[in-house]
Amino acid sequence: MNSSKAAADIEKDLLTRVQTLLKKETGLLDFTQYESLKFLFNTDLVSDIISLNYDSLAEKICTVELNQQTKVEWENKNSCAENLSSKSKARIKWTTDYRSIGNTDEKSIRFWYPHGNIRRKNSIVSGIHKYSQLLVSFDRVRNHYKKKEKAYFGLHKKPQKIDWDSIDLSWYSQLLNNPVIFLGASLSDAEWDLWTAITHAKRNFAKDKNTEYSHNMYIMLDKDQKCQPNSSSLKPLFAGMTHQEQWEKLKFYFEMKL
Amino acid sequence: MKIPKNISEEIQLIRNDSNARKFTLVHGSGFHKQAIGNSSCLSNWDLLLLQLGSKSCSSKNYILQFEELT
Repeated sequence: MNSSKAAADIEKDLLTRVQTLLKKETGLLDFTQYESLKFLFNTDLVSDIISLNYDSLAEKICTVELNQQTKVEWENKNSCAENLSSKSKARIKWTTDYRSIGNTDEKSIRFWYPHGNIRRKNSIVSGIHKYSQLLVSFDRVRNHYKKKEKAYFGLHKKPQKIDWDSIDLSWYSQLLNNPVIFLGASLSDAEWDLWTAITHAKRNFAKDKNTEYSHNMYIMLDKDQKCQPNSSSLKPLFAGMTHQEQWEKLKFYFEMKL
Repeated sequence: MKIPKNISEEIQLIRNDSNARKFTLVHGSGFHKQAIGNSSCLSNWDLLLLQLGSKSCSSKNYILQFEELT
């Protein structure tokens, strides 16, 4: 504990060091070590990647894999932050911003960073204070989604085809409206934003007439683990297998030709 | 629409039905661990926190561990 500085200033310094350390570590890496994970960036099967890491390495590998030619910018198609004060707006904007990799909408993958990204030091969610802010901002994003969803279904009474991405676009909407796979993410009890999102994803389609719109959520568990202890909503990706076996099997399915 | 029973059915559905929703993948540090092992601060949060000055090790509550540094 350094008493000559306020905790908030120490935190700022720490985040600068996190940014520097991760940038340096990424710079030292041999990307060929990630060869076996490139199968994930399959635009026929994947539309969104939510990274719980602060670094951008997965995005960089995807950029090469999808032959992204132009500079990638942060994008946001979510109106949630429009009427908020600048301080609240920043946090919500950071969590609803995404970076799209690929050259056409159909052949691209959006990257989301709900816990921050080293490109934006202040977006990094680290201590208790930032985690509690995250929960508040998540609730706003979720309420905004519900409002937009009600408006959409008010306008389209019995739609032939639902354009889910036009209702709202945030990491939450993509967790709600797509099948989800948690890979290499153990989800600690402290990740309340994710637990809340997972719970709402189930609650959102709980009515019998709505269950057809719900999607499965899979999680890679340890070999002997039968379920994620704090959620019955998450199905084991492949039961009774080591992580290595599960990565290999997923790769096999992703690359399988019909 | 029928909800797939497992990941294999899920992948088949996406391949066969152009209206089917594609996957959202959520990844954490295990993505790096699978590629480069556990000895990098990208894959191992204990190492990252130790490099930031943390004295406690493997508390498994990284948020509190970070908080102790401030």
